[in-house]
Amino acid sequence: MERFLAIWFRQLTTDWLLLHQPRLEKIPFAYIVTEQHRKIVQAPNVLSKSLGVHKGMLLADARIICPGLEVMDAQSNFEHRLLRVIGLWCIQFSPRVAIDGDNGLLIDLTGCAHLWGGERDYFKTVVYSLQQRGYDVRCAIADTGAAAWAWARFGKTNPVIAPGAQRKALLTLPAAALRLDGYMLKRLKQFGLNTVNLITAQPMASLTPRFGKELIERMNYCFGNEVEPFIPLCEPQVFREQLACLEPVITRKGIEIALEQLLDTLCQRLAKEGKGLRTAVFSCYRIDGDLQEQRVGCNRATSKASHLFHLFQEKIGSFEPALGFELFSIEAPHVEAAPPQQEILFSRSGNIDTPEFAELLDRMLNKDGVIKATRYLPAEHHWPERSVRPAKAITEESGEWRITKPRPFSLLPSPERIEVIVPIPDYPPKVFTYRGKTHKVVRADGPERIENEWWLENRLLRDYYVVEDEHGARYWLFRAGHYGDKNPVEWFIHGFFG
Amino acid sequence: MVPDKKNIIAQLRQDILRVQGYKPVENKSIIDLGPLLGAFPNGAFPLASLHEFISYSPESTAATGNFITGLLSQIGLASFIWISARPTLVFPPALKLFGLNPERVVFIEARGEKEVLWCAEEALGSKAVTSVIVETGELSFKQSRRLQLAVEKSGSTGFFLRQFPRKIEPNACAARWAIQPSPSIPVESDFPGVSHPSWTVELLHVKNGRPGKWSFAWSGGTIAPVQRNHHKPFTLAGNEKIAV
Repeated sequence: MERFLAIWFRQLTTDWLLLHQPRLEKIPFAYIVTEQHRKIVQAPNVLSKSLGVHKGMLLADARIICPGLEVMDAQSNFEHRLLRVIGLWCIQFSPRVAIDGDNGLLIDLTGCAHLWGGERDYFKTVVYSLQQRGYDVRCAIADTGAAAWAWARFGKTNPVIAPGAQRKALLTLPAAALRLDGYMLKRLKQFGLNTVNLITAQPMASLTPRFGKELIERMNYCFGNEVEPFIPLCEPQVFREQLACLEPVITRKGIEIALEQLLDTLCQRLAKEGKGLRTAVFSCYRIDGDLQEQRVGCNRATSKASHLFHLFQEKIGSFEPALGFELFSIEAPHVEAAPPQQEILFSRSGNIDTPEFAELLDRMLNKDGVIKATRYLPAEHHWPERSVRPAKAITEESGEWRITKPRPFSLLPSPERIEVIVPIPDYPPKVFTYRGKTHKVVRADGPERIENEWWLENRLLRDYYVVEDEHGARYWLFRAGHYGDKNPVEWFIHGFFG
Repeated sequence: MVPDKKNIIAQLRQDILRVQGYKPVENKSIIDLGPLLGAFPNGAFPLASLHEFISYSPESTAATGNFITGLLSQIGLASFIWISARPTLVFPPALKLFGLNPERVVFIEARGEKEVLWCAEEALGSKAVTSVIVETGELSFKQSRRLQLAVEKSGSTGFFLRQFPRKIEPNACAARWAIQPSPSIPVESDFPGVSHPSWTVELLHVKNGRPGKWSFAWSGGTIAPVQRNHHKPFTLAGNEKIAV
């Protein structure tokens, strides 16, 4: 049996403004929008409402009723943004929270209420914590989202509708409780169908041709004959832990303790199921509704709390507690199977795939300022620039390094032109000049011909020579192309031997 | 009477070294550099410490790199971390030619010198790697001291490849090396082409040791000492049989 809690914010935007500008408490004010050069009141506060200002009124008219009216320009989509923030905060009550229209939230509390000691206490906690923040809310709990929506707005008595009782409760409500648009309500009124029970009393066959499918659909949603789509703000994570605090946490030590506790519970769960996480997100919910997150990534799936704690420790400094965090959560969006490993007695085995090595790499890669970590494997190309490729994973095995010919210790990022003196074609140079310095070649080996990979790019073939100058320094030179081609032959330096 | 005195002096030397933090070493056989080892205290290559290598040209950097690779290959089955502030100089296939499996090396690229040193400290302090190679320019006393502490805790060895250093000041490194390529010695006197890579290895500074200059060549898959005699044809003092 599903249960839903609908929250109706009666003064969403003005309540928010009052929270941030307490001076407005005794002043009538309203949000306005400009439509076709007319200024229209969009959201008046309680005080201006009591003086007769209402939504949709022209600002000029409102000013006559209430001369001291202060106005602010409404930002577009502001309600939605605000509801999103409040909705994320409400995740502490249930993992499934959705935005419902432009002034409400819907919480799927199925299986959550017992944690607060039953639905009545759950309801009180939600309402109280929102009211304490300063939001004027009305809430209701019912079996369906639509019924909860209706009862929150139109219900007069007990806000918690018992399971299975929503049909009886809704029958007494006006037609507007079905959440229909203005035109439809007007049509219903013309027929004298002002309340829900009058509508349900009509035969279905006569309702559909007169009012269309929408009315039937809305009634089905309310009574639970059809399931209304529910789009949660964020998909609940399977591996998620949270920790609420009695007092707001301000200190670094406090955050660390919370993090440690959360990691311990999460990692125990992971280890029990033989899993390890690859990414972890640590979120801190600030008392003023701000949400701060930090994430870390791992090279191999891990369920070791101390290691993850170490990774997060580098990042704790970036949190801004201000007035304090009231809720912490940790979740693992990316989880992989990680069979438990035997603890290695001698960590100095030197294997690259030990957990210690992966942990070391994690620490480095999660540090700001470390660009990348690469392991190179042989690629199946002869062209020197393409003969190695970065490994995809730390444990990736390669084929064989087939190196029989000399390769320089450092390869220049791209070959550089040199001036040479060559006695006869197909011979290494006698003298070459690189960056203004002339080197006399004493010994040389070669040529090693490397053909261009014509299926990849169009270049000249290279004849490589290893040459040694009079000081013993060794270079890798090559000649691009054949002698006797139309273009003059060019020589390049491509690397240094040691 | 005389041998007694010698024994006493040798004993006292050991005591002094022990007081200075040098433990009697058991790893004598790990890295073998022949006559050069005499320059180090206890006659053993100091592992679990820092070594800096100074180079002022790309040629000497490459020679240094190959020499270090040769040293690392003697450590055997192990994984290494190579840290640099820009894309690394190393062309991985070359490591294979000097006896090191390139797959065992993880190259870390950091944004600047500061991050490089942070990584170096982190890697040197970890027990997961045996050696860390760091391409850096400067290494001050304070920085080296900090890294030395990390090394003492973990027992790994740090190799600092310092290219074009602006300032060379005393620091906590166990040895300061300078390696230059030297003309190769042909296997036979009139053998054409280039021969084994050879280096002039200079120890500019050794803690509690004697600096000096030696010649080495890469032959027979190891770093072999070379006797240079300019009047006679060159000979290799490696394991190979060479006709003189």
